[in-house]
Amino acid sequence: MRTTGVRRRIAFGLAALGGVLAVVLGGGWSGDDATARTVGREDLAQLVEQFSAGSSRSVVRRLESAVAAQPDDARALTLLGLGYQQVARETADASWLPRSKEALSRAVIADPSNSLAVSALVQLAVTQHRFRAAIPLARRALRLDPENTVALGALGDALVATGRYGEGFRAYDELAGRGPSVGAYARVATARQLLGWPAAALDAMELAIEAGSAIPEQEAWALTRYGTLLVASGTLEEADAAFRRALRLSPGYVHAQAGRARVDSARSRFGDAARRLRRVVDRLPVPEYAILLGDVLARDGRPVAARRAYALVSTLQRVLAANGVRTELQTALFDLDHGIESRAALVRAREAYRAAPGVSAADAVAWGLARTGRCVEALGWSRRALALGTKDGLFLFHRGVIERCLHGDAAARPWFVRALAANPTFSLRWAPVAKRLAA
Amino acid sequence: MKRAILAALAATALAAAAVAAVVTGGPRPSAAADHVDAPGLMPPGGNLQLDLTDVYAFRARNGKTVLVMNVNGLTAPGKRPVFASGVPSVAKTKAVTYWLRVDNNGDAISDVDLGVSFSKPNAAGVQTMTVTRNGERLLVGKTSPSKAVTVNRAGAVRSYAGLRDDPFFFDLDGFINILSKEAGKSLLGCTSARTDFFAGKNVSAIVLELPSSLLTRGGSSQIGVWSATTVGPKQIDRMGRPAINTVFIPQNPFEKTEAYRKNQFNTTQPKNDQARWRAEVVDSLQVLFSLNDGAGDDKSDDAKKISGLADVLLPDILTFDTAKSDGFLNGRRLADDVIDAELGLITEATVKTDCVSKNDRAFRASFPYLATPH
Repeated sequence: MRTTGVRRRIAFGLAALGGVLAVVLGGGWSGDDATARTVGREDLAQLVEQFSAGSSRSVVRRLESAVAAQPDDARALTLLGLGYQQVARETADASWLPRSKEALSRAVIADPSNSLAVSALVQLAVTQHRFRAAIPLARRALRLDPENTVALGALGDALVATGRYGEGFRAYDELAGRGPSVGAYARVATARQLLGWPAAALDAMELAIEAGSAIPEQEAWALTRYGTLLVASGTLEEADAAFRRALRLSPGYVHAQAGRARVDSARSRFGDAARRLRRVVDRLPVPEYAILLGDVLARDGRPVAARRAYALVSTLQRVLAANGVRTELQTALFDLDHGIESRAALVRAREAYRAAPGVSAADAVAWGLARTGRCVEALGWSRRALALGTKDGLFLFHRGVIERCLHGDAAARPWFVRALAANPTFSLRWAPVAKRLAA
Repeated sequence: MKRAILAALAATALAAAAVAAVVTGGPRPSAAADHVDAPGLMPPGGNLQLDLTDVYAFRARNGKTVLVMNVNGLTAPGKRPVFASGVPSVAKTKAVTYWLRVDNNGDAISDVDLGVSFSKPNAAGVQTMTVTRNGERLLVGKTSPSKAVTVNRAGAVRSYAGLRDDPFFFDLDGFINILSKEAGKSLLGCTSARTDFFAGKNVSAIVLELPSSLLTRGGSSQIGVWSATTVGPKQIDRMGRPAINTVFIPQNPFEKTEAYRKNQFNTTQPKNDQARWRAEVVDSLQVLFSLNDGAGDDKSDDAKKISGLADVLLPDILTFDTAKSDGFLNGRRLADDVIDAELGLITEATVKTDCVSKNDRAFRASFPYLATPH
């Protein structure tokens, strides 16, 4: 009956659960009374505690038996749907995602007014990069419960991903105004990054860490994200300290291990970085880290091992796609960077832009056009990619390549300088090229 | 007489919760304290770090004035809540300030603003605390995020900010279940010690000790104290005496149909309290007084009593004579058992105590006075 402050915070931290494979943005202060009607706050708090204790699989098994016994139990179905997403996050096994979708869809059929189940579906859609589908679902969850911050955060994410920045940032502001949480303030940091305000983004991440979380993993996630921003700003000592702090909070935390590998790699300690990344990829086989491993191995002068890592990337992306995750943007960039069938990659980049017309997809199209020699067209897309003022090393490097193609070395040089200023180690593959061309 | 009238205010809080217990099957734990006094029993601004739980003002043995404000109510042991330094939106981060405001000429307008602001915590959780007086820097020090106490000094001023045992004590469960017939559930008729709901819970406390001359105006030792939290220019919470907003401002547990105005109360200023909130307070008091009608209560002087109470309850300022060591209603000392006095009044002496007469931890004799955290 008693609900202490900490219990509350744990329940509110539930937003973290529906997180995604690589990006966990907890909504923090979740809808209170309305969600409690169908799924008790205590249920959620318990679920999060059990997840935090590292027993997600057994929680899921228990919920599966509950659902088997009572197939229309909306509460159990909702928790099970969230449980599958948690297991997917922990294992990087995307085959849990369709199971989550099935459980949550059944939960919504059993209880159409269940805002939490709907918002869990929204998070699933965001995880699968189905951003357009996420938007109406999120609005539906918010109509059922205007206080549902899980839905509000995911709505902002989907709007931002589809290039609707004004609306998306307003959703983030509203979320941040509802109370401090890692999820809310980290989203503010993301917005500030997109706007090209790196110092302000760091400030927001520091406030996210200050806000803290009853879930150690969520706090570790915030520290890891902070560390990653610090790597980009070239302050490697502080970055490593943040990653080590995350590891103290959540021992073995895989994303912090990957962060330490980024620091190693920024210090040109490629052997150390590769050793760390192998362990990371063994634990959590996601394309992002497999690509990083391959690039580190390539820089370390081990092309055969690098090719093996890249082969894993393709396999992982196929598995993701088979489980409903849209991968066009990621595969297009990978293929373009590694010189694999650039024309086909450009087609996929365009598909990605149609699905989610944001700055990242615009940059991918620009890069695809540049890599296939269509520099005039590429320039327009690069302008679109940089329209918010984003100081992204890769976006700026891509622009440099396009300017060089159109106007020669002198015109391109400032763009390479800016790319390196934004992030001196923005890419293992391209930062050395930028250095050469900036000189 | 004045004492009795003032004591009624917290008593009404108790009555309110009793009614709520009947209507809703029990309010949430925070109903009788000032914790979580925004709609839906959420902390104001959705932010426990900005949610004031209690304010104290008392005279130290050395003759100085001690002012205390607490936030982060019901913090469990082992947790290390920090003070907020800022609240971000995409466009900018707004600074957070914790205020102790002092009126020293009785016009309910602050004459001495003591502002406390914090840096972001370092890896050990320590924050820099900066105290200003009317905008001028008084002191810069460090917070105490764990049991160890860091006392900050500047001249005759001392400051502390950090984790402490919650000094508030009350058998909240016994009160929530006050009408329960089940043995031992209600605090009614208790003869042996009952449970302090706030036992084992911590708060984040800001404690200032300063020469009274920094607060008073020449010739008078009387001041009025309230606290507030602000994000940029916006006031998020404020309180003087305990539970004014919780009990008297709708939606009350006993006036469920009214719209929420608690956040409005939190954002308004004491100087406007009589004009803006008197009607609500009188309305609430009428409902509360009617609860005693059945007990052979003489109703003839109710209107006069209610009017007298409303005069005292508003503005929501804790009045304190800095020259006197008396406790509540002269300021509020940590050990003052306000609940007992108030229970007596609301039940017309049927109930004289909740059988929790002191805090779960002994208060320190020396600065920062609040007890060690759990």
